[in-house]
Amino acid sequence: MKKCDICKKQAATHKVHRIDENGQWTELNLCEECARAKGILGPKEIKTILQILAELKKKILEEDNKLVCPKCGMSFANFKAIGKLGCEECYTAFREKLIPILKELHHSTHHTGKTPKEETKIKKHLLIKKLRKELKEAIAQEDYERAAAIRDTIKKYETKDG
Amino acid sequence: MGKNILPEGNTVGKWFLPEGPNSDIVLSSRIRLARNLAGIPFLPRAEPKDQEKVLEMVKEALNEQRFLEEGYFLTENELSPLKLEFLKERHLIPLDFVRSERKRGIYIKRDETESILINEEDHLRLQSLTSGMDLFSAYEKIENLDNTLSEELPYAFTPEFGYLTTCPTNVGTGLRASLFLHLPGLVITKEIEKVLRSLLEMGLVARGIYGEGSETKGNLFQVSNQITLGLSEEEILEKVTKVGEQIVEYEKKAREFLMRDFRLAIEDKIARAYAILKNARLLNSEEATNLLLLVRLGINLNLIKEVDLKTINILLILIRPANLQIYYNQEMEERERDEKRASLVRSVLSNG
Repeated sequence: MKKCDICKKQAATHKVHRIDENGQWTELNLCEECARAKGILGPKEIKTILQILAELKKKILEEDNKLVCPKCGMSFANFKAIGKLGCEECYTAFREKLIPILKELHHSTHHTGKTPKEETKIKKHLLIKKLRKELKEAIAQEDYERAAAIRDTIKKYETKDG
Repeated sequence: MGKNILPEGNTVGKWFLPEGPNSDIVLSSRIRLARNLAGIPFLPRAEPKDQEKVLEMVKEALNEQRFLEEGYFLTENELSPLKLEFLKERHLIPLDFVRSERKRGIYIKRDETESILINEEDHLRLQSLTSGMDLFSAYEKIENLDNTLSEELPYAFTPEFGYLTTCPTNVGTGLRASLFLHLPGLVITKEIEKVLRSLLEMGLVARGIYGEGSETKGNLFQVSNQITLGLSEEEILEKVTKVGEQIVEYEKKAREFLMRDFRLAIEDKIARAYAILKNARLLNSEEATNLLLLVRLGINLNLIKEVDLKTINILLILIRPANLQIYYNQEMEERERDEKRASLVRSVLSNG
């Protein structure tokens, strides 16, 4: 049996491949003790880690299954599977878990747009745009009286809120 | 109101006529708003009776606000497969719309500029289309319809998250602003990849218009915002418009470059396309679309003068399979359609 490349005493139980800083492929045979000292995981340790991860995943799924919207009965696990919510109350029931998702999707978690029935400033925006065009025409036609009147109107709209 | 009333087969929606700003490159602008009704489960959890209720409430609200008399209100079971395709080809129903047991409905304003899809992914999807690059005007129209409806309908809304939508990708403003762009210059000069990549960095998304696998996908693009939460309506519209204007500038530069360095090759390609359209006896939908788009480019480059953009835009809609059948008022097999399509294009272009 091969001896460990580091201590040269114990029998090698681990075969480690790595690429060194020169891009060379090297192979190292290590015994249990030296492998652990180098922080290399054996099949046993990897198995344990996988088990922990699987349990964690199961726990999350259980939690997601338990988190249910009281109004429509949709579970968070179900939402994660289909990407769609069941009713308006889901936003309250899943709020804490939704916030990181919204941050990821929109880089924001708060609405800053209009509320129902509220008017945006787009009408004003379009009106000012139209007036600017008329202003240009008036100047081109050398109708300075009209141009001045239009300019005053634009100023009035721009300073008025809403 | 009769059950089979639909937009006329021999006209196209006003939004498809080349009248808006930059309409040589921007075919149209579209705004879509996602809305849900408070107190009724969203579609994944809505029972048939809930869906029925949504349909009733929307119809009632449209009637109350006198919108009903200005358009068509149809439920899904009143739509034959052919009419469904017809509406898809006119961008009035999303392309991925498939028949289901759901009780869906559609309201279309007579000039096809505004429409509402009921019980699709959200209870309501309001849509507005305008010609050229004009997202602000499209939005103004739909805000008017939306706010008027909200007098009658209780929308699902919270100050924190805004308009609540079935999918959290739409929550907040529920606003999706899209531009339909014709970008042959950027495609031919192979600059398009760069442009599309930079779009992603700005939080916008681009896709082909006529779906996967079709050739035209290479020249027609839809550019829209992805973020709907944390930006105001104005901010979203400004962002998409700004990026759109930038793309238009790039496309113009690409066209100038092609006309300077490859004029003969471009002229040849366009002249051939025009000649085929004026003479072909059989044309399938894809070939006709590609050739018409080349002629469209030819008109914009002043290489073709005897036909106008409006004619080409109308043809681009009428030659699509379902539209062609409704235009001729008869159901046709593929081979017959190819013949009729060629004859329609021939007669229009020889009169143009």
